[in-house]
Amino acid sequence: MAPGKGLMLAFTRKGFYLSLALLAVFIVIGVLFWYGRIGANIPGYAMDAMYYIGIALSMAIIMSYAGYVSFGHVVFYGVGGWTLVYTFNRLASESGVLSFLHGHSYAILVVGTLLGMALAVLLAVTVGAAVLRLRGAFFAIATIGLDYVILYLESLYATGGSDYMYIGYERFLEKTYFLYLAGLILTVLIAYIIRVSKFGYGLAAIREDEDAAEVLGVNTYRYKVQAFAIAAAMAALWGSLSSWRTSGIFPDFFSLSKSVDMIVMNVIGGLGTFNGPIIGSLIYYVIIKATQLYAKDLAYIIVGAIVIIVVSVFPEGVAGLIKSKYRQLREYLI
Amino acid sequence: MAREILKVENITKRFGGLLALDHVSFYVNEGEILGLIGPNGAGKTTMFNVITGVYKPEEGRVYFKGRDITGMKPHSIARLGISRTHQIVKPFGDLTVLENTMIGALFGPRHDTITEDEAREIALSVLEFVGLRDKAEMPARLLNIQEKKRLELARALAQEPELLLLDEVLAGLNPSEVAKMIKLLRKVRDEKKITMIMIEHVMHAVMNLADRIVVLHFGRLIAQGTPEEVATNPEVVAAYLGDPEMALKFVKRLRR
Repeated sequence: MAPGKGLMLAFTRKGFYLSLALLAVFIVIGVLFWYGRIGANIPGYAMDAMYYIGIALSMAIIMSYAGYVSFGHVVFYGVGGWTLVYTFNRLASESGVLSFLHGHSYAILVVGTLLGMALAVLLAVTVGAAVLRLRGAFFAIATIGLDYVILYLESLYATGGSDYMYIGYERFLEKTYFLYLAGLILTVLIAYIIRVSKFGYGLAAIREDEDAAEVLGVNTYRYKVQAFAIAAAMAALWGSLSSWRTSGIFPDFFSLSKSVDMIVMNVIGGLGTFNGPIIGSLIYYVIIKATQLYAKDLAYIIVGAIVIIVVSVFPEGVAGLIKSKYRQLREYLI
Repeated sequence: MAREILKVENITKRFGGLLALDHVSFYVNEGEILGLIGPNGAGKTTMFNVITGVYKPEEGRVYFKGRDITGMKPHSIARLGISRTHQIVKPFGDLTVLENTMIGALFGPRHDTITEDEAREIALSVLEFVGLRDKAEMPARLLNIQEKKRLELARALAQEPELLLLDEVLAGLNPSEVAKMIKLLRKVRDEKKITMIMIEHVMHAVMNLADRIVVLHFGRLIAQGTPEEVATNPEVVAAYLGDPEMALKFVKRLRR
């Protein structure tokens, strides 16, 4: 797709309104927080929400746009978090290859994040070359395999035997808030541009009927690998931001349940639209938060029940429901 | 002097022990409509799948405008200018009719340079051409079968192909729909000047539309020639047309 005017116009489309509204809310919260007008609670919730939107959108590129459900997505998220910690503690240590960065935690964050994203892309392209030849359930199962391999390697080497990899830096929650916001803006822009571009049309064709797409001239294999790689890079970005926020990673950073979170958010939101995963992640976050606050032990039972209800009552998710009931709202979903 | 746009040479395709295509050769001239007929299981759709790169033949070559395209990936072949419709329609159900057609335009031979706006324009004019303009914003899965067939055709036409492969576009349509579709195919030939190969069981249609006909039977090419020649060929009558009287009727209708 030729960029330029068409792309600029794309951001004035109705499909981008929800993102603009959300970003505005997050910016207002950030500004109030920065100037000390509100405490840390609301910004904390906002950061959680940004995190959920971020990981849901990263998954959406491959799952919602291209129709490939990956249980291995948490691996890329984990690679992002792990690489940041590794960059902090090894590469940028006093004796590391990047020792000139030592003591500059924000520079390390940027370098570590980029390294993590690069590593995730490398892994995605390598693994994708094999597993993206599979379809449907076979692809999904193969990606579970990826998760188990990485979990095992991680338990052997990554945390060096301890349960927790810690990064030491001065914590400024206000700055972390704006780092999250920057991550979210980047994620939303990338997802949106993909959605409205020729690439996005190609992915949609693959999701709807891969054989027909190929015969119509879509280079299905290349598009799938590219989507997988971009999705991986975005997941790594959120892994990195997340480990920065919690100053390190736990072994559960690679847990399969995080992939399930991402999948569930996309399912609740509905596949195939730009705003579906965003709506899905907000609903999911509200449910998780509410159950954690008011029914702690029952949280995942309630979430599980809701997932079952969603899938059986409106399998096409919230976006699908809106599309079929209120067709004029279709433009707002994209 | 007519130019050969497509030539298949000695194509053999096996599925396990089944010989789906047995050393089949034929050609298509530019601007021509070639009918591909034969009983069910004769290998017609298999031949389309070989031409479009979905299947790799065990033997033989496919040449498009003199270029050997055997073994190329389907998307590369589509980008060279060969488009097809499917016997069992394959709409992108969740996308609108317009989006379906735009995808055709975006990934066709002009895929390198075409903009989204141009693709939309092409798609809209093609939808007008096939009579689906008023359904443009409708999700494709809500179309009826006749409309889905038209969408298949629209998506292929939006690619602006030089060669169009039509796999039973008339099947499943009622007589008035068949008449409409035949009219539409004539329009494709006369206005868009696109070369076509059509697989068809609706005999009066193919006898009327086709300049030449190729007959397959159990993977073998048993006859080729003008509709008259084919309809009066004893082997074709025995294998496929069945009733010699019927076959003659087609020819009579043709001469009228």
